[in-house]
Amino acid sequence: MSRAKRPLIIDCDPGIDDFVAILLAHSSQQFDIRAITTLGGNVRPEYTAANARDTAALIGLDCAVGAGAQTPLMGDLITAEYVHGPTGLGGVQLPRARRELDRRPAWDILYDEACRCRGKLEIAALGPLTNVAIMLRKHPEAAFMIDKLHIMGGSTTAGNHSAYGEFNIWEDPLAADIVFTSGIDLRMVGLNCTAQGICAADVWQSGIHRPGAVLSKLRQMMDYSAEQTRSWRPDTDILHYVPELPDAVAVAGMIDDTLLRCRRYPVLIEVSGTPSVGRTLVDWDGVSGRPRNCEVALQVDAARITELYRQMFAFYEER
Amino acid sequence: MHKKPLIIDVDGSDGSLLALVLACASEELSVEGVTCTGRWGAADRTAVTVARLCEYLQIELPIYVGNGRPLCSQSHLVAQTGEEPPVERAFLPPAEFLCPPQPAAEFMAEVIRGRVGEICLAAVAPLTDLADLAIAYPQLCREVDRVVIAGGGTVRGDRTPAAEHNIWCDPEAAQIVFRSGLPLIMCGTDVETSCYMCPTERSGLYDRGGDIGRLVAELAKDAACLRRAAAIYVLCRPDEVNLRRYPVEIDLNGAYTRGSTVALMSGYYPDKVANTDVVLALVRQRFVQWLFDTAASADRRRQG
Repeated sequence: MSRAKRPLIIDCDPGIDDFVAILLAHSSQQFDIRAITTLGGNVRPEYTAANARDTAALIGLDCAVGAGAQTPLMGDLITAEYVHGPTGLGGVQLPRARRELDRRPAWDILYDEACRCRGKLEIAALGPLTNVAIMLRKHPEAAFMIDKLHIMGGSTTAGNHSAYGEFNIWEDPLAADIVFTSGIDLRMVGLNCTAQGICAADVWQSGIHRPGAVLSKLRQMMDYSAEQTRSWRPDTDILHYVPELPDAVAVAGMIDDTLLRCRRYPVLIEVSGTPSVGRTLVDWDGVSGRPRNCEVALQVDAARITELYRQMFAFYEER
Repeated sequence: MHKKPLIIDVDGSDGSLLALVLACASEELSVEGVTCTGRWGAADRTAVTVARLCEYLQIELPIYVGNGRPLCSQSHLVAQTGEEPPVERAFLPPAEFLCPPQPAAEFMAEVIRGRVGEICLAAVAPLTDLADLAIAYPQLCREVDRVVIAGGGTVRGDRTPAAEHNIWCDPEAAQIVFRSGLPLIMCGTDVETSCYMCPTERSGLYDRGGDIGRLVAELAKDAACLRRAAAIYVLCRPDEVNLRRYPVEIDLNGAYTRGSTVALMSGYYPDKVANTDVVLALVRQRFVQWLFDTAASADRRRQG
């Protein structure tokens, strides 16, 4: 008996780990991917849009691809070329897609699909939350028209861009605040969790060396990523290098619900310009009296995620 | 005479309604629509008040409802609680108002797109709706003729020592607006002392008669109300006001200064770009004369 595919939009800033997340989502064949929407974040918005458009074409995904926010709501765009390369995919060139970008801005695509999918739309937000925030400001009722929003972002422990600031939340804390107080059904997959969700080295290494156009591009990105990592961590073993792919962990948690152990807590976003800016503050003991607005991912099953990657590599072999 | 097309954003306060009445009454402006904001959930109530006011003025205007919630949850608690009870305004007739499904920002964008470079915007309310416009339609910000903000101030606040009410209610919205590239004119506490009608002037306007004259006299209660009226005056009589261009940003974090407009008025800051025309002075006598004249001509048009 075939289950109806789950309608999904991936909002992202490709981004090497966004690239893998898109591959993973498509390979699961669980989703009817309605669109990929992009914004500035890991790299500049014109690159993230082109990367999403060309990635979709590369893997044979026929869906709308739309560009969105050029900058965070209140500040200047600060990018992370030192992780993803100047154009976002580690200097790897994808064949230029024939399909052009959708004319609608990302937030209108999100809203149109939320209406069309009649409450069943899920969103995977793998970059800063600016696009989702703009949609919710324009259409506050959309918070209740979306089945679930899965965020790769935040952390219950340390950040990666500041003491407590994970990059996506730190990049646009006001957008995160708008999303986290909107009433939308929300799951946060943060750094505390994604750091554990690394594929087993042997599966990863054998997987990226399989034949096929898609996997060869991934392999090239991994070469870049390994070199970058070695530049600041000289003892990195290039031959057995497995990257940390936070976005892919968030998507994996959507594919297999047993993969993540989650619990609901009130989560507050620090927007003010203090050393804590961009913090996803989890109220573990409920002292704030705020509503439990967020399902916080606490632990990931690394064996199950390795299995999902194994299936992904099998799917893309020879493609 | 060619009238400047205007969209005005109000919050239902006396001052914002006064500004709306004067905008509708003026010879220089043509009001294309009204967008409504307000304290939590009160944007609809503002819209009903505006509908009743339009009924009283015997005009038909498109009325749209904005989001109502401030941008940042830090301001939500302030917006949800509130010292002022809703104002009854018994002198306004009842009116029907059906909330249009289109968001206010979308309406503003449509009008701006239709007449590039012509539309003026007036925000006599917290800047929530202007910010929602700026984030959803960033490329349209430079296609507006001018935007006058009744709020802020270079040296004084009214809500707190530093912060004026309309900025203080939604500082994150103000930050977005002041960074958006919208061509801003800030008419705030810098003209506080000129925004004054002495009691004889006020009662003189009331006694002269005319529905509009009496309404203006009624709503011109204090400096805060008159500062909002002054924002419309600045659009109508730009050569009667003293403007200076400064770089202005918003203080979001100060323990005492959150919600204030911070203007760089002296010193050398080569990397800061002047983004705002600040109204530094206006002549009280001429401003009050404009109030009288605008009300009078509108009353004449009503009778004729």
